[in-house]
Amino acid sequence: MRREEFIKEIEENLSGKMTAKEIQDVVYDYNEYFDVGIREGRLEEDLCEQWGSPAKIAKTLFEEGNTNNRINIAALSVANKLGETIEKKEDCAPLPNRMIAFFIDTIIAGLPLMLLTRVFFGFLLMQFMPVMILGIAGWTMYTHSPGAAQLRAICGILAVAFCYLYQPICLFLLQGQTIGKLFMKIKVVRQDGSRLTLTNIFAREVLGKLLLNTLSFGIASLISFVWALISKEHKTVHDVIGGTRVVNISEVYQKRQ
Amino acid sequence: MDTQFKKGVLEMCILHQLADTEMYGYELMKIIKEVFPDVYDASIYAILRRLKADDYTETSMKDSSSGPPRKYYRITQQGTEYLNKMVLEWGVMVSAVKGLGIDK
Repeated sequence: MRREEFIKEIEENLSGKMTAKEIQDVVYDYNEYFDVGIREGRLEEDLCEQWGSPAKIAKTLFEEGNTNNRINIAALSVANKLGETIEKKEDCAPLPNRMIAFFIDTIIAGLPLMLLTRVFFGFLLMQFMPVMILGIAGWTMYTHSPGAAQLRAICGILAVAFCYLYQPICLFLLQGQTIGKLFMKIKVVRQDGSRLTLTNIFAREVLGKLLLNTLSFGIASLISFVWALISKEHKTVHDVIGGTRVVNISEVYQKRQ
Repeated sequence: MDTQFKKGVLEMCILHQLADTEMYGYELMKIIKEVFPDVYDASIYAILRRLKADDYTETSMKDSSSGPPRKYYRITQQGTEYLNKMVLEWGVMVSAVKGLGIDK
């Protein structure tokens, strides 16, 4: 067998088992080995014989090369057909996961408030800071529930504080995750995939969510919702402001550990 | 030799080769083949790829004195830590085996 045939057969045997980029990499490497071997005075046929049949090489690479990051063949063949954009998208957290995580977190964050005011689903008003503060203030002043007004005021403030601090504190302590995100196996990371910094968390949660939603009376979160629905990477306003993106870790994690 | 065991040893040998010098793929494969002639070439190449995928090594293109540029492999900090761990485990294993009287 000669070089050209050998390379072509490697490509054929790997196709569908690796991504286009990986195959390109293998082809590059074997071409380099040919170059070096020939420069050493070896014959193409001789090198081919030493390396074995391309079919066997492909099998070895597929079986031994991926012990730590074995990827589903079916997913890969789809990725191959659609090119590299999908490869990147594999990384991106699915929308249903994000939405379920959002609801879990919103319920947890709003739980003390709900118990306090007994307004269930009041947590949906969380996006509207002024509405909520007015509500709590009114509740503190006019409610007929037992306890001194002062105590009620303190409980109200603590509940509001918990509601808004829950998410940023979780993101900090759980390194990009919250309880909802833990369950849904998704994680917030920086654009480049590295770990969140305090600046990212502040920009995303305080500027991108709290401030912007309050100033825009919730329009920002509506835009985020629609944008997440239609954009390929499920972009949201707070992710852009925070310089972050949300990734699927059920795969990424198993790859590395 | 059991394949998992062999692979571990080969990983250790390759990383050890890279411990203080950068090398290109062909060179690495040749050195390993000299010590382990029975090892299948593509197995060595698969290990090279895996070490890189796991960030134990990184590559860069360098001009060679003869011919086109080559892909050089270099050990990373993570790779060094991994190598040290493996060498330690290897030492423990060898002395344990010796302790049983297998010493040839």
